[in-house]
Amino acid sequence: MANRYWVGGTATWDGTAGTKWALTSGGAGGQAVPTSSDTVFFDANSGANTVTIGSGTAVCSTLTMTGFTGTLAFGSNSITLAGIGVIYTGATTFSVTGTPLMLCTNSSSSARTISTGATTEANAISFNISAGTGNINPNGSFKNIDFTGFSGTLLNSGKTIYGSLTLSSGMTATDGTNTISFASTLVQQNITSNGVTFGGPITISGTQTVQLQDALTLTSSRTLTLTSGTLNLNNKTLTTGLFSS
Amino acid sequence: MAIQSIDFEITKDGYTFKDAIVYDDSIDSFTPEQISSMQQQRFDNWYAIITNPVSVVWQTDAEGNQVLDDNGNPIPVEA
Repeated sequence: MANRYWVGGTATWDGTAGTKWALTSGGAGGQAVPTSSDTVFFDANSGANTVTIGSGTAVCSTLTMTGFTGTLAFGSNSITLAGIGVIYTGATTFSVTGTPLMLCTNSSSSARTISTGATTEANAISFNISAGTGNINPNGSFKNIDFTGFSGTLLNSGKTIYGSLTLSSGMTATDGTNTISFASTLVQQNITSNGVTFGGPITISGTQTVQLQDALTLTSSRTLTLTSGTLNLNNKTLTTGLFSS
Repeated sequence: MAIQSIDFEITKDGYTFKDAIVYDDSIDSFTPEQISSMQQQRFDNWYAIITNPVSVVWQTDAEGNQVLDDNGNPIPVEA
């Protein structure tokens, strides 16, 4: 495992090493392109540059964006986060374009944390957690979160979702007081729970429609609060301790 | 990739459950028996929850009034 800091200016994160990556923040470029075992950093010394994500080539163990003021241009590509522990640390200082997507592929039973920070809806990133049997703690702001293929435990933590949420039938969710907020002002939001009982309260606070794709069940001590927008049950059963609007 | 959705409805003892089996047909393929089993399992899990709800104790202040959160909802006492 090695550290890789972006020092490549405005360029593409692809399979060509060049002078894009350094061992230290602001250090000399020329290191190898990150692999699935490397820890990648974009920080203040990466500059206010646009980094374009190439097709299938952006891979790392974990990714930290603290202090980065540039742009990640995803187009229709994605970044693979193959590691464990804190696999993503976001920041509110950088922007994204395209359809930003992170693929979380570790299949072990080790715990993972995704901390995006309180990004705006425009800069929210989608995460696919497609494998793993351990605990996962996604907190902060997200576009879509898709757990298809994940069979571990989703820990209760506060998060804001601006897109859709898909749980996996093989996973579980712990109960707790932290709220999941659906808050889009731009798109319809779908909830697919796949038979998983939700842990924690849900708040709908955007301006768009939140639509159930299947039955939604919260534990008897939790509240679904509709403060704005529209909740479309879509002819599915909603079960909740309290409903508040 | 195509998302498939099979809506279903099961009623027992006056309780009606409306749900759907949602799956990605590029990943999952199910027999009719498997789908039926999943539907029954979903219903059984839900039926167990609604017929045996966990008793909830709500937070109160020193004068016995319910404590409310920012949305005006009562707050459960956590175990």
